[in-house]
Amino acid sequence: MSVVFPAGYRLVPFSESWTRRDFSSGNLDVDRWLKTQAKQAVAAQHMGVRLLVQGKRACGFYALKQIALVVDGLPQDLLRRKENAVASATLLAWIGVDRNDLGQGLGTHLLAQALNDALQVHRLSPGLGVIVDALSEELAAKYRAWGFKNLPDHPLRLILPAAALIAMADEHHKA
Amino acid sequence: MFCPDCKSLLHCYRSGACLLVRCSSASCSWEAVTSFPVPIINDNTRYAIIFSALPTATSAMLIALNQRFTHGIVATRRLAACGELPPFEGSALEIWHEAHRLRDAGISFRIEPNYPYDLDEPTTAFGPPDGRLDIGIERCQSPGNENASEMDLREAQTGVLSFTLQGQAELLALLQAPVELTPEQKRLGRLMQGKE
Repeated sequence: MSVVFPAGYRLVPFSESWTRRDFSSGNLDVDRWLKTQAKQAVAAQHMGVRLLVQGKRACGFYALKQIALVVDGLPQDLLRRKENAVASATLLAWIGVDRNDLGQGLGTHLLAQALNDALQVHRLSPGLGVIVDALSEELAAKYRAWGFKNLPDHPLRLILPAAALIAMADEHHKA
Repeated sequence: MFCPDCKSLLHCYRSGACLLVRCSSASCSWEAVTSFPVPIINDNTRYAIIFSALPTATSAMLIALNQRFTHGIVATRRLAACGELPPFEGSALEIWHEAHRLRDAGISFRIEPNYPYDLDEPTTAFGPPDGRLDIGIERCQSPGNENASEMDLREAQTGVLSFTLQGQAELLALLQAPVELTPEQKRLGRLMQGKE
């Protein structure tokens, strides 16, 4: 299962061979992370990073990592370690699209592919869902429109429950 | 504050005049060093110690005063007795040391303009002692989320997200709620399937 990107764009695993130097999403933190931190994060296996490229140029990306949550009372099948109620979730840590490529829905395509990746992880090792750190309330509102819910106790963190993630992937088959 | 590299919580440590910001994740090496803004050193106000009249100054008081004023003991005694000692002016740090010395000698005085540091509480002037700081923790506290500080500390120590009892109940309800897809979610689902 994979997203079909507009013509000329393709998704590739992170590597240095793609030009990131001119990437500008409009958010300095996002740009700086892609240019200076992504390589280290991949090398240290902290995160999985995929680039959306056109020619040799990186024009979008997302980064995923697995995180743990402690929640008492969770169903046993979701617990990673039974004794201390730890469950896992996929964190969509970073996502960005170059300003020159806006207007084509690439951000939504990247989010859809990130959710596909998270779904694959969930099917191999069930977790609670996908968590995002929204950089602002405006972005949080966008995620809420896509079905993410506010994560209790953690402002600007939102979660897409695994059940919703599965339902989204299965929706087409039902139709 | 979260790590720009791996999104874990950042820890702040003070070491003298340095502030070290370091990622709390054991598997991440992100860190940065900057200056620690010591309040009293960064205070550019000029303060003045104004002496009260000391009609019955003891020897210890006169000795303490004479270390600051070089009039000689006789003149100092006379000026102190009628409250005409000139004010001592200095930076916030100079005033801090001088005020402690004078107070230890039992000399009464006041500081103008309003001195914002508590002479009995050095952290008000010099900041917290060396070691781990709680910078970035307090801002997470909000009504209904009073345990955020403790939770963030736990997250920093363990690398996992935790929740208040109420938060856990809300999360469980959220995870177990029946799924009803919105039109936006259905569209995202079609994109995931490569059908749009």
